[in-house]
Amino acid sequence: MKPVDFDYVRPHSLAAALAALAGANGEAKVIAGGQSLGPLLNMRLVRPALLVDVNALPGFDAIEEREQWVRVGATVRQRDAERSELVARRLPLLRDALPFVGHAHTRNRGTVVGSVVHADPTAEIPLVAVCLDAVVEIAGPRGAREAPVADFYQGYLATDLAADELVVGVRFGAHPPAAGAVRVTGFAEMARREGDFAIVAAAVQLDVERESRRVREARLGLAGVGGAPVRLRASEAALCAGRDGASAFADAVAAAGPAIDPDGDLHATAAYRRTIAGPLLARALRLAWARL
Amino acid sequence: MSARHTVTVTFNGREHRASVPARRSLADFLRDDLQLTGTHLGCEHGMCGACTVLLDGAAVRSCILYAVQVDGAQVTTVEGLSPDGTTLSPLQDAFVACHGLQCGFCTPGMLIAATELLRENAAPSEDEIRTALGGNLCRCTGYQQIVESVQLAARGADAR
Repeated sequence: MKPVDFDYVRPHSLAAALAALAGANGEAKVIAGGQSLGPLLNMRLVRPALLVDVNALPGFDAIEEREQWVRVGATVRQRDAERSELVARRLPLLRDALPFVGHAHTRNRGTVVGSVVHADPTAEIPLVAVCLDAVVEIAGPRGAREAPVADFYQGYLATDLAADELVVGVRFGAHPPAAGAVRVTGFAEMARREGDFAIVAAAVQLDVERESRRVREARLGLAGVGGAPVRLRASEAALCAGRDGASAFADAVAAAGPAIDPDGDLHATAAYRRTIAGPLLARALRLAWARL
Repeated sequence: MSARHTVTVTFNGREHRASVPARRSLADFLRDDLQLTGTHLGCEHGMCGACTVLLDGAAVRSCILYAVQVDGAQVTTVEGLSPDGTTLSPLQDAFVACHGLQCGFCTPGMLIAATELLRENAAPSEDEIRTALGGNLCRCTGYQQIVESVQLAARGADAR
């Protein structure tokens, strides 16, 4: 199994990386961790003329925090994010999801941002990005731009990224919970084997008032139920309307049904995905609630 | 196209300089150019873990890395686990003692994976061992003796 013959550059500046992409007439692929691209190359499902390796770009391996967000640079390894105190403190949902992403050896190399950009609809990190209203930071020959991740995703493995553009980082929403509220998270998935892509995955982040146990803010999502991760707005509203959070779990799970329209594939039928989506969401809700 | 790239990489403590085409995987580079055939290729798409090596200390799949990418890095293969090139490491001894291999095809990857685990966690639980080796497929052993081998290595030679 050998990839097609391609050339390779490892630029040391963003300008040089963009110039390499611009000079390749759409025939270049950006490589960071390569844990999705490598298999695609080896199986010749992608046949680029040029690989542009972003691993030497200065500052791309940084994780930064502000009051409203945490920014993950394009070459931050999944394993480093998993071990990051900052991620555990500010992005607990990402921290919950990371151990489900492949295996330790693929996380040693694979990047958080690469997973967002690869846009596999059953992958865990894109689900987290959708739940946290992440913003994708894009550099290109026409200048820098930003895209909310919900707009960035355009269906199975398809994104709003031009061939001459490059994602430099992703900002995950991390605003502090309201006064008196505590933030809890839960993540659950069904996969055939540990480390596989999920068949269906569920992510939950709740800001809960300590005294009343009312849900002040809910972020719920499912992956593996269509071409991109799905936010469950009606379920979120049901949780926030409940007298206390747990009493509304059944309503929230019921409201998820009409929000999804899964497709069947080699791994699972549409009916199976629909059947397990509700129980997985319920499991993620219980995991979150148990942390109160 | 077909441009060759010069890379300088330290394999098992020895520096090598070579000219490679961009598409040459690190695994093929190890096996075909350096004759380090201890690293095995199973699936060649990052699934089976047989080709796992340590890249700057971190266990990675060498079949989905390209040799050009590791310029300047330190790589440890199964050949580098022996402390002196002739005797086995305590982990390798434990695999012998516990029958942690049958056909041996997955063993290099298992040893590298377990080496990374024991470096980070000197006393792993059975669950932690199974999680750490979860990305390495074995078609012979049923995994039980592999887990026991890592447990024995973790307990150390004194407990044997």
